[in-house]
Amino acid sequence: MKILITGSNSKIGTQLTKKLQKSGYKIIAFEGKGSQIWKLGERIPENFQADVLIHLAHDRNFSVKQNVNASQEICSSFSGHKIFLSSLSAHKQSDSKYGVSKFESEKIFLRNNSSVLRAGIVYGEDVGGIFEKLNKLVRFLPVIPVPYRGNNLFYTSHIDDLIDEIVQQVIYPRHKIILAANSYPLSFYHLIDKISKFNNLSRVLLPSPKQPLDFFFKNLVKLFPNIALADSMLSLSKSVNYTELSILGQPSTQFREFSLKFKNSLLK
Amino acid sequence: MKCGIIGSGPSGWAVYQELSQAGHHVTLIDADLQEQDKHATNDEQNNLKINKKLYFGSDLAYRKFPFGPIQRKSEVNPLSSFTKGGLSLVWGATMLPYSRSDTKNWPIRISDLNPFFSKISELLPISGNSDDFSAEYGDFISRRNIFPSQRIIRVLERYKLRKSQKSIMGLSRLAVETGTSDKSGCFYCNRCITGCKDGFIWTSSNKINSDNFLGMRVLNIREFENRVLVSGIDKFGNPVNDVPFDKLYIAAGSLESFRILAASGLVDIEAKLKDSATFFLPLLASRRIGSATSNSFALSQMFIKILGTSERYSNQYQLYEYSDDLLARAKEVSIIGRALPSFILRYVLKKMLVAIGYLDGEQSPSIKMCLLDNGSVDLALDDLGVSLAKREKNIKKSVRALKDEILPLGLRPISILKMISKPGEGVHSGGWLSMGENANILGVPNGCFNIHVVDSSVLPSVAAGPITFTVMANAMRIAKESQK
Repeated sequence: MKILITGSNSKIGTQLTKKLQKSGYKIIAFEGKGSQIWKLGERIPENFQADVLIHLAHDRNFSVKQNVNASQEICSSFSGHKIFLSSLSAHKQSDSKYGVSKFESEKIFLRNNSSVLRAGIVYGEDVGGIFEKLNKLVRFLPVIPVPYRGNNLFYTSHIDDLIDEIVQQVIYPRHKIILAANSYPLSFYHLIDKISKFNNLSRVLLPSPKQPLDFFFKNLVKLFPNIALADSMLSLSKSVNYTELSILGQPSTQFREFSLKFKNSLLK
Repeated sequence: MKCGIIGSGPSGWAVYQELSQAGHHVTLIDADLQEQDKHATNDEQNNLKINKKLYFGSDLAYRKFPFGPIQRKSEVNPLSSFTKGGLSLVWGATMLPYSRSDTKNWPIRISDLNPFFSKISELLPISGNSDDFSAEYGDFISRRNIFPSQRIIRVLERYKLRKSQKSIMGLSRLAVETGTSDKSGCFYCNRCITGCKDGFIWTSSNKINSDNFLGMRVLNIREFENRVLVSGIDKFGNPVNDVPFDKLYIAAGSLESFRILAASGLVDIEAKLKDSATFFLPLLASRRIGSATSNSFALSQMFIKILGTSERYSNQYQLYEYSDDLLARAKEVSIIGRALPSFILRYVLKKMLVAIGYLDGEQSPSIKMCLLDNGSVDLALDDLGVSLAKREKNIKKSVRALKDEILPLGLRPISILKMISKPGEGVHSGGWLSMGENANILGVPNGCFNIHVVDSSVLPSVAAGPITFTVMANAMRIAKESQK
């Protein structure tokens, strides 16, 4: 079976490619940026047709419209089964650019023969994304401001589980939105606390209130749409409600509860 | 072998599963008074304009029948149900086994029940999360995708950071379908108390095959050398005489089981029903915990076990989140609730969590059951057991212990507002025919051969906290071992 992966140079992309190659699939890898053959927003070239497409590529510098158009282009140029990696910040109430563009793209993919995976914060060794940024922040700063009083909740997915779930979708496609995260959430306060304890660092956590931060980030994103961190913070400020969460399909993989002791099985 | 089971509640259902799997011919007998049942319509449920006793869409468990038990001065109020599914139509769906310390005076070990606990957790959807309870109570969970309310998560996180030796806390374990990869589940409409319209809360009523069902209220059983004859009346009042069985399992709930056995002359006409005292206790949440925001479900969300010491028994609390039904209930029962405008009352209630506390059976008053000449059961408070004043004292002690544990987590009990239920109202009762004392370990009353009592009547102790899981597992064990 031939599998086409977009955004294969991302942290999840490289590990997913490794896993699929180990299982004996033929991989066509499209890097999102800097690739000569295909770029996000273009149609899939006709001489690269495959059985399954896994769409991981996302450009934070794109506007919502550009990202949605890119999804539209992919769906119209590829007729086989597609797997779209979305995020739990994609929901109705979402304010952030990232959340809205994922939410709109989901709708397009669902109309076109695909399964959608909503992942939480992806963690593990060398995963990039928000988790890596938080990790660096904790190591760098002795006093850490905890936005929203640390009360906001996050859902987490270990990278191994997420990859397992994607592989499951390749084998047994389920044309549905699937919750690809552990259903037991974690507060921001607890998350920072766990990271600092794991690194044997003692950090002072400084809770800061919700409203002024929301106001600040909203305006920051309006003025400078390309600041990724501000957009991420905005997407974390509103968590998805349970009625919406419970309608999602349940994963075939058992997502483990958050702990930093798990090592990635695919790194070496 | 031709087996009969009296009662279709959880324990009857468990026996039915075990015996029918072994290939026996099983008949389930229940009063099945479905015709007189009143179900709340969807409109009534949505407008909250229903009698709050129509819990779970059926009020049968709360109905008084002329042939039901009589309560003297109404000082006690135990329940017996006369419909298919029994009390599992109105239960809180909590599923936690007994701990080792709860079973000190048992003739069997709690670990003997482990295979049955895991078998039930495969048959039933038990939602929960592996936590500190797993070490003490075993990890019998089949659904791990339940979404507790945000405040409960904050409380549990603070508990994890603090770790006390005196208490165990964790997410509640409920027999609720929360969805699997090919089945949908609970969608958090917050209306659990008035009945799950979609049937996600497990009940044994709709799991029973009508081919093997016999609608009859049992009045009398007679035991012969190798058969048991059962007589009674069906729901239209016609007598049904002498239905023969090789073995009979009685799972009619402790009150009805007592009536049937005593009326048949198989046990004494007086017995002591152990009961776990129940009380309602509001908790005020601190600013860090916050007020209720998103919809969650209205069943119990969190368990707190206050561990016992040498001189004190352990107690259990179940925490409930704010729900609109709670608001309606507050308006119904209290004068302050009626005086305050709705929006103020809602604001106050959203800052609170509700705890339902359970005392150990040894700390609570027990109920004296006595069979009258006309065939009904007379109930009264047992004068020899724990008095009501002593119960009050025990509850005060328990609340004080709870306060020490949950104050650092941001919850403060408001003891003035606590309400104590009448003995029996918590429906955690049994133990009048305890194994090893009045019956053998297979639930056979002294002097009988082919009659097994499998419901909560045979538990030697009534622990603080949920008892259904242990009752079901024990029933399954008896069903399995009695075949030999």
